Order: sequence, then C-alpha cells, then structure tokens
Amino acid sequence: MSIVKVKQLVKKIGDTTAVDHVDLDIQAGEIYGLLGPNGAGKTTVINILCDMVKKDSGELWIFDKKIEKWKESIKKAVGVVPQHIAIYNDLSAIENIMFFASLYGLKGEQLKESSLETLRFVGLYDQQKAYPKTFSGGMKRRLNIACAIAHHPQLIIMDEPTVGIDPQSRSHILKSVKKLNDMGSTIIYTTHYMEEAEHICSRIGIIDHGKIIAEGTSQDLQSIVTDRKSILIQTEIGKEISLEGIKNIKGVLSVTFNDNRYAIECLKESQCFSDILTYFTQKNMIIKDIKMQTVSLESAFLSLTGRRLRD
Amino acid sequence: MRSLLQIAKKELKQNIRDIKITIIMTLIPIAVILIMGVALSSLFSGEQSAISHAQIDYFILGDGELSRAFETFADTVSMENIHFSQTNHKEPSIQQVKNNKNYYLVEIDEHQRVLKLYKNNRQGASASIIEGVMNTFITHSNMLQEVNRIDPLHGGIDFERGMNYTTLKSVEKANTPSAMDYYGVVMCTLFVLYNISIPLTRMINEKKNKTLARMLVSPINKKYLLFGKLVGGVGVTSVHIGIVLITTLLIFNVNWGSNPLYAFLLIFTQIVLAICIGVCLGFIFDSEGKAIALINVFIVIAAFFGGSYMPLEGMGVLEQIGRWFSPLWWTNRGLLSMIYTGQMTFYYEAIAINLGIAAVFIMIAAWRTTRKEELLNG
Repeated sequence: MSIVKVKQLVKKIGDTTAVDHVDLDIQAGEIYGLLGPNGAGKTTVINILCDMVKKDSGELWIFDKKIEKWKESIKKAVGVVPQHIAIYNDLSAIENIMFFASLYGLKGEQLKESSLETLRFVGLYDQQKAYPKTFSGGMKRRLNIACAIAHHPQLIIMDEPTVGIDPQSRSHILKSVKKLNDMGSTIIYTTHYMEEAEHICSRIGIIDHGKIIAEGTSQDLQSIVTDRKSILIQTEIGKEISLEGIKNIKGVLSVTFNDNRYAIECLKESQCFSDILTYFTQKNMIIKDIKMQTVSLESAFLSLTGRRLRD
Repeated sequence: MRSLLQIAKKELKQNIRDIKITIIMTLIPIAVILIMGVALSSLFSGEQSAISHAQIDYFILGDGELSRAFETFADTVSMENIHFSQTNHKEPSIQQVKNNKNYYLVEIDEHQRVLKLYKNNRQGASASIIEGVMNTFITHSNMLQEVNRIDPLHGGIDFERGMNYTTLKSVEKANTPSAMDYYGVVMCTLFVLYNISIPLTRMINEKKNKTLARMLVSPINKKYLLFGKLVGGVGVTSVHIGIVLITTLLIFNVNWGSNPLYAFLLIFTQIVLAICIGVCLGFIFDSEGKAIALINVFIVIAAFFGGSYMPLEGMGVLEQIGRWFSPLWWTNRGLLSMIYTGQMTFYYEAIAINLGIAAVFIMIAAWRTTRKEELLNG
C-alpha cells in the first residue's frame, strides 16, 4: 500500500523553485530517507506533506487518498517530529506529551496510558514530572519525538531529529526509529548524517535544488557511481605516513585514515593501485590487509550533487 | 471543542505557573493603588470639607441677648474647619479680614442691637457657604430684634429658641470619589490593559519555539486554537484582576458602587478586549521587542488620556481626546458614572465598545490563523 505518493510536486518561494517537479512513492513499512544539503528543498517537501505549506501544483496522496482538502482523519494518522525542539519548557514531560496527544483525539485513561507508554519508549519514564528546562539536549530531542508519536500514527515524518545531540542519545533515537518501524509505522526521515541514512533507511531519495536526483537503497545509490573505486589498506599499528603524499599520487581523489586503515578513493580508470602500493613500500609500511570496496554513500552523494551533505 | 478546552487548560497552567507574571499583575496594582490612594488623598476634594479652614472673629460691644444668641450659634455651627474666636480689638480683626487671613469679622452691637458682617470679596466658594449661613443668622436675629422693638410686650421671644438656624455639622460636596476610590478603579482598568502583553508574548514565543506550528499540523480546528488561547488568557487575567478587585473592595474599601458585580462585569469586558488585542497582535508580530514597545507606548498614551494618572475633569480639550482611542477613557467613564451618579448609559456604552473592538481583533486573528505559511516562518 502506498502511504505517501507525490506526483510532479512544485512549490515556488519567491523567485526560487524550492520543490521542482518531485515524484515520490513511499510504501507501507518503509523508512524513507530524504537526503540533501541545506536549502535543497527537503523541509519544504515535508512541510507540504504535513499541510504546513501549500503546493503550487502537483498531486498528493496520503494513505492512498488524494488530498484536495486535508481531512481530520488523515491528520490524526500522521505524526510530525519537527526539526526544532517544539516543546513547552513550563509543562512537565508528561504534560507536554498529553497536551499534544490530546490534540490528536486521545482522552481519558487512553491518553494517560499512551503518554506513559511513550515516555517509557523514549527512555524518559523516570523524568515524567520533570520540566524540559532541566533536560539535556538529547533528552529534549527524545521528548520532541515522544510528543509526535503518543497517538500511534501510521506515518511519522521526522525532520532531522538528531541534530546537535550526543552519540548516546543519537543511538537511542535511531534504535527508537527502527522500533517504531517494526511496530508498523512508516517513516519519512531527513538527516544531515549520511551514516544514519545508511544505517536505518530502507530507501533513500537524494534531493538537490528542489529535485530528486537519485533514489534507491544505499547499495543502489553507491552503485550509481561507476567512475571511481575505493581501496582500504590496513597497516601495522603505530606507523603512519603522510596523507598528503598519498593524495599526490595520480588518480587519487581522497584519502582518510582511521584505526590504522587508509580509505583511498581514486578514479576507476586510473592506474593508481600499483602506484599506491609502491608508495607504501617506499615508506617501509607493512601492509596487513587490502580490500577493494564500492564507494561510500557520502562519495555517491558528492558525485551526484557536486557538494558535500553538510555544505 | 475538546481541543479548545485542552488549549485553554494549557494556557491557564502556563500562566499560573509564571510566578513573575502573577506578582506583576496582582501585587503591583495593589501596591500602586495603595500608594496613589494615600499619597494623593489631599488632592481629591471628596475627602475634604467643602469649607476649607475658616477663621471667623466676632467683636461684642455691650452685653445682651443678641451676643448670647450669637455665641450659641457659633457653638452650634463650629466644626473642625470653622473656628469662631471672640476678639476685643475690632480694628486689627478688620485688618486681618482685609489681608485675607480671616474670612469674616462679625460685630455685635448690643447698644444699637444690630449685627454687622465684615468680609473679603477675594474669598472663594467656601466663604460663600459660610456667608450664606451667617446671613441667615443675621437676617433672622435682626428680624427678631425688630419684632421686639415693635412689640415689647411680646419681647419674651427667646432669641436662642427663636433662632431656627441650620445645624451645620458637616458641609460635604456632592458624591465624589476619594483618591483611594478613584485610583482603585482607574488602576484596575490600567492593569487590565497591561495584560495585553501576556498573550502577545506567549503567541510570539509559540511561533519562535515552533509549538504553534506543531499545533497547526495537528487535526484541530484552527478556530479552537484561537478561542482556546482567548479562553485561557481571559481566565488567567480574570484571576489576576479578581485578586486586585477583591483586595480593593475588602481591604481598601474602594467604592465599586452599590452592586460591585456591575463594575466587575464591565472590567471583565475590558479583560476580553485586552486578551483579544494581545492574541491578535501575537499572530501578527514576529518580534516580541517591537510588539511590546508598541504596546507600552500605546498604554502610556491611553492611560494619560484615559484619566489613569489624574482625573481629567476640567482639563478642556485634553478631557475629550481619549474618547477616540483609549479603552481606559470609556471604561473609566462607564465605571465612575455608574458608581457616582448611578447613570448607566456610559456603562452600557463602554461594554458595547469593548466587546465590539474585541470582535474586530478576533476576526483579524482568525484570518491570520489561515495564513499558516507566514506563521510557520514567524
């Protein structure tokens, strides 16, 4: 079943076409990642999908129902996690959740039980009576998510829900997203963090200048990039060589060093492989392992858009 | 409808938990009313006798019934502000009257059996009242004197019993407010107007924190969002102002009329007006600083021309400027005229104006809720 379907969606903001003939088809049970640099148009797409912004043209279906005018029943089945932490600092954690859930029609015991269950789900059960002003950034982010899911929506739209938080909270949120998906919710997820998309999304759409320029699984996107190859060289512990020296080898595009591993990307057509090995030998480096890999999603993105995701 | 109540409940909770706002909107008006009521009490004629301090000297030449009758009269009309003193020297007392030090000199000539009154025309209204009383006595006594002269056999007319002069215990002006009464009323209405800033600030913060956007994407009817905010705002302001009103009524004994509920009803309509203005401006403005600056300037001008700082009676053109823009002008007029003259025309007029303008602001705010994209970017 198609949960969200968009055909030729267009939205202009001033002279700029923020969303340029976008087509999407998100199926039930998917975690769909929308990737794009700042200003690419992903938040505008999301705002159209949750009725905050009116489209200029195009067609939209939610739960297989064509949206001419938003109906209460459709909105009730959607949960939106905004990029901003949109919670009240002068209401306790449980009061925040209960307030927003009540706007989606929950009441009485069901409201209370569902709110407590959600607090448990995001790991804030013990802080239910605490005020968010006493929370860390990660806890606030989790409460921000809790306020959008207490009414058990079929579709959850998450706009960069992990911005600016510690790795522990990020890991908790990513696990929660997976769990929500396992529990039956379809999720649209935008992020700046490529590894998050790679880790949790079943499908990814890359958006740039308002257009979806590529779409598919992480592997699909990596395989789109056919003009480069990646070499992973593991060396002996405690010895390093200059990365600049490797970069100067003809055909090498980039190099990173992490945990005694050199990840080197170079043009597929170049004869850089033997030059790299010669360079390592000249520098008296003992090579413990060599792997040929497909390029990373980050590289695929760079190759497709010409800019890094965080640009 | 349920979501309306949920939003109103949330607003009430947030406002009541804001101790700073509660203190500002309850203790400060109470303190201001107390300070103004006490400090400016002397400027309010309602607390003074219509007769300011008056010194009346009398000079008796000879001895007889006429002088005894006058002394009885003097004892009777003498009160806190009117003092009679017998003088043995006529000329210095006349000089005192000329110099405006004393109001009058009364000369009682027992030989000629006449009373003479020396006065200074520069004296004002108070002197006229005393003069009226004195003239009554003099006319009356001279008349009795004439009767005795014409019919000495019936000279048994007792001067003291025959003098049916008015007992002057206290001469008060018409029913007017004391300083405490006046500032009790006008400060309450002024602080109601200051409540515009509360929903305004809350709305702008909701936009900034994106909680408004969160409410707008929910399935609630946008009318409920608006009215929930209004009900919550009116509720909490009614609690704040209710505390002030009850304090002024029970502790400061401010005159709120024979039935204070009438006065409170008019103030309630002013609360509705203030909250509607606040919510509406909150939907329109994105910058809290600019909005609050505008409101503060408006309130200061509205307060000045609305009679909040001082009564505008007798100030000519200034007295009428407020009628065109100041909610305080028409609300204060409605309240004061209802309390002190019993006239209800201005009272009903004020209720109608308050609710009418509130309705206009609600309509503007309702229109703004439909402009979701602008609110999103606020």
